[in-house]
Amino acid sequence: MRSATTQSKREDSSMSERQATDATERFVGGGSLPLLDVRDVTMRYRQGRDATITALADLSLHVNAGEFVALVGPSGCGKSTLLSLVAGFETPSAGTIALNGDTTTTRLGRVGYMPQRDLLLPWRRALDNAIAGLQVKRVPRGEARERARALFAEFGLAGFERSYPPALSGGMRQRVSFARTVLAGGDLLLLDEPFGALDALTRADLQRWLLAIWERLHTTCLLVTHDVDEALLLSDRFYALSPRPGHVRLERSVPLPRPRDAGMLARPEVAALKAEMLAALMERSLSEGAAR
Amino acid sequence: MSDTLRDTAPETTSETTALRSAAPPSPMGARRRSWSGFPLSPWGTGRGVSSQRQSEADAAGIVSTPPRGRLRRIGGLLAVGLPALVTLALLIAVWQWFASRPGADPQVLPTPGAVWHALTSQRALLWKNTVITLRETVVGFTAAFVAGVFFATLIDFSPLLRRAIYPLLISSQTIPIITIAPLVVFWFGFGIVSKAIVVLLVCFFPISVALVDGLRSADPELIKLYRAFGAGRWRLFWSVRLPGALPTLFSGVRIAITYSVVGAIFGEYVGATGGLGWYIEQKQHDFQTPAIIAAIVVTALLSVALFLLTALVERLALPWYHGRRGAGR
Repeated sequence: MRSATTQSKREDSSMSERQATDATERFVGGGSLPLLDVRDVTMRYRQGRDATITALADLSLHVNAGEFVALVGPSGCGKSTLLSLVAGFETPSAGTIALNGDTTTTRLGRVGYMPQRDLLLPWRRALDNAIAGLQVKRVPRGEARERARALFAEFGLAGFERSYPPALSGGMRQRVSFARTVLAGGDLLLLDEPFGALDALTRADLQRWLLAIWERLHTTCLLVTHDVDEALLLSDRFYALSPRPGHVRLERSVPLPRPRDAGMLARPEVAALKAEMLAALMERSLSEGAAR
Repeated sequence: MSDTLRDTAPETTSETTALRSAAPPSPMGARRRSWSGFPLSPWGTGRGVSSQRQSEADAAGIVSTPPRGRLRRIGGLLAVGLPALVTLALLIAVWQWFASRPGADPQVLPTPGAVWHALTSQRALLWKNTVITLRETVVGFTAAFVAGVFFATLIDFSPLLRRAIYPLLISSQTIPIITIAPLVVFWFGFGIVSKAIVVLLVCFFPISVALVDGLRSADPELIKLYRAFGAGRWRLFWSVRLPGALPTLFSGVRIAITYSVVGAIFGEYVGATGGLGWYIEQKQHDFQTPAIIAAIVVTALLSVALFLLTALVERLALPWYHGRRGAGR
């Protein structure tokens, strides 16, 4: 499986039009070019005739290759706006977004996107749902199914390849959706509150599942969430955002070794970090909100 | 790890087992499935359950009993059809009693027996005219389907075309077909063409509107997801929007098919050289009431047969849709 993933990664990167960056350089991390570089991004929407809403204000962040980064913020702070900018659905009003140092080429089709709802096609069996993204990229059906089947085994979905989505539980549907994102994904996966619509138990279950899967896959991820514990458990580094207009208030690395487990969240250094994050999230600087 | 995860999805196993087990975990689902009477996915499509799922079901201590399921399915069909048959029998009984009461005029209201006699004695003639009507209906309906799908796609692809075509489409439906049919016959003659055009006019609207609405109702989030994959307009249309619109399209087709025979009869009634409508018109001149009612019965049977055929095609084409409704999720 491991080799299959690296192989797919190589294919995807050869498909995307990378420019100056060397494939090996991205995995070195440290001082090299980040995989995703968001710089001073502002996003304004028109509302009505003359009013505008500023969703994001001078937001900067970066994600290094092989890193799991979380974006935590209160609801309505523009987290999802940022993801849709990174995915390439919209262009920012100001600022730049660079994927592999490339700011100009469209990012549509070059990053994996996983929405909150599973959005599986009810007329396709689970396996054929997982290959949807590969099919858009014109991977032959047989090869796509082969890759999906390998991933199903790894994701604990073996035996459900031929099931239609309504026959699957919410947690399983979300895993099929994640498989689809990983297969379609390119170098960067954008996870837009992927567990937000699930009940608490299923969510906890899937968080632990994603943790284990990610520690094997090591695909670069940018996770948007409002769940503080989820961010601490899963991410290497997180950004805490302010209420609208969203900008970065706090950036911290999570000082936990991998493999991780949920029990580590009880460690004192994590508890201190959580308190710091919560303080940053809850802080109500009225001047800040009013000024922009 | 995968074992603990599988435990989080108990519905999945119940989905398959409900169809085959002697003591289904969800008896409601099983009953509703068997009621439908048609094979449902994934079990009923004939390709079978994957061996792994089967072994899982076996491991759960569930005994497969397909014969009993099949019996239940036949019983289910009867349970669906029986109430309608009983109502029909009651109506015929009331009719028989009313038509044979003392002083009743058989010319005004013949008995069911007299109608049956007309039906059998005029069998060959009725059949000949049914074939004519059926041919007109099929030609007209096919033309309506092709035109409906074409215009719906056109409307869907361009907002300008939508504004150009859609209002005309709707206002065309405000013209009663009664006033149009004589003109159509006047323009296109007594042959099949004029009847097919009346059928087309009747069927085109429900089909095109259903497809336009179906295509419009695609989930914007789903479209966003496919755009993130790098999908273009055509890919979106073929992979997401058209398959998603099929249930709505079929609703339109079901409405259209019930109107189609009526449209053909109407065209024949105005002016034709054959067909059930022409037959009824002829018999009216001779006051042959039993033959008229016999032809009406044949017309109704033809419409019902076409409707059932549509429903069958829909079941076969959209197993996922009917499977989902049965599953009650």
